[in-house]
Amino acid sequence: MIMRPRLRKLALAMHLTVAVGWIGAVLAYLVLDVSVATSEDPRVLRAAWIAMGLVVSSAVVPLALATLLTGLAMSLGTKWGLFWHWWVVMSLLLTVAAVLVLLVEEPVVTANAARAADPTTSTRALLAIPPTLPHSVGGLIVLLVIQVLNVYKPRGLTAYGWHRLQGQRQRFERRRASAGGSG
Amino acid sequence: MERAPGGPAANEDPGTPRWVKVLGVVVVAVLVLALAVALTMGDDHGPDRHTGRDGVDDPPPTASAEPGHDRPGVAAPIAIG
Repeated sequence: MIMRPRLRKLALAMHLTVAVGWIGAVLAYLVLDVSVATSEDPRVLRAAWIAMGLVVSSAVVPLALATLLTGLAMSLGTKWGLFWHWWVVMSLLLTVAAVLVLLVEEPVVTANAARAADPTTSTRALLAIPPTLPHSVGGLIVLLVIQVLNVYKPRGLTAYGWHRLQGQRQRFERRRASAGGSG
Repeated sequence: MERAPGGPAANEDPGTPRWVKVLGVVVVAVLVLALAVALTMGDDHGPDRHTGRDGVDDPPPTASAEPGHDRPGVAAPIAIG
């Protein structure tokens, strides 16, 4: 069902807000992750890990889930559809992959944050916790690719979209022909 | 409500666009690379990899621990003189 213009604008505003917020939250996480990778000061490491745990559980995960849900609503409620256009399909696949990796990583980051927050955790143990740079950098690249796809909307109908479009065209032609014949 | 028959990209070739193929190849290459790195590193890639060193208990906190001295791959300063 196609959304009415006012509802579509509201859904678009929500989708843009949470999607850009997701990128911002990942950037904030990346700054902390770089601090973990480069610093040898236990105070910085403890603070960074605790903040990373909070950023992931309170910002990155909720924004990622909200982006997926609002993106599904936007594609199903507008002319673009979910499986009609390649840019929508690729955006969906990349978003689902990013969310799945995030949901696997979130407990790991939370556990590390708990270790860092524990005052009995030794400095040696703190220094031994490796940063999560491959995931944060890779995640940011994936989000930027999705953003480019959504802004540029490169052309290309899927086979499903093309067949559906042909069906609609035929129905439209039949209706026009019958209207012309009766009038 | 029905979609407009003359919607976006109505006259397009239904074949897979080049950009989709390029993006697909890049994604597969990155996945293969990540898998190769994970296999090369053995157990170092997985949900448990960030939680310490193979389940070995941490030594108790020491008052003399200083930044950088115990970091894996970071050499301790050499005492001169």
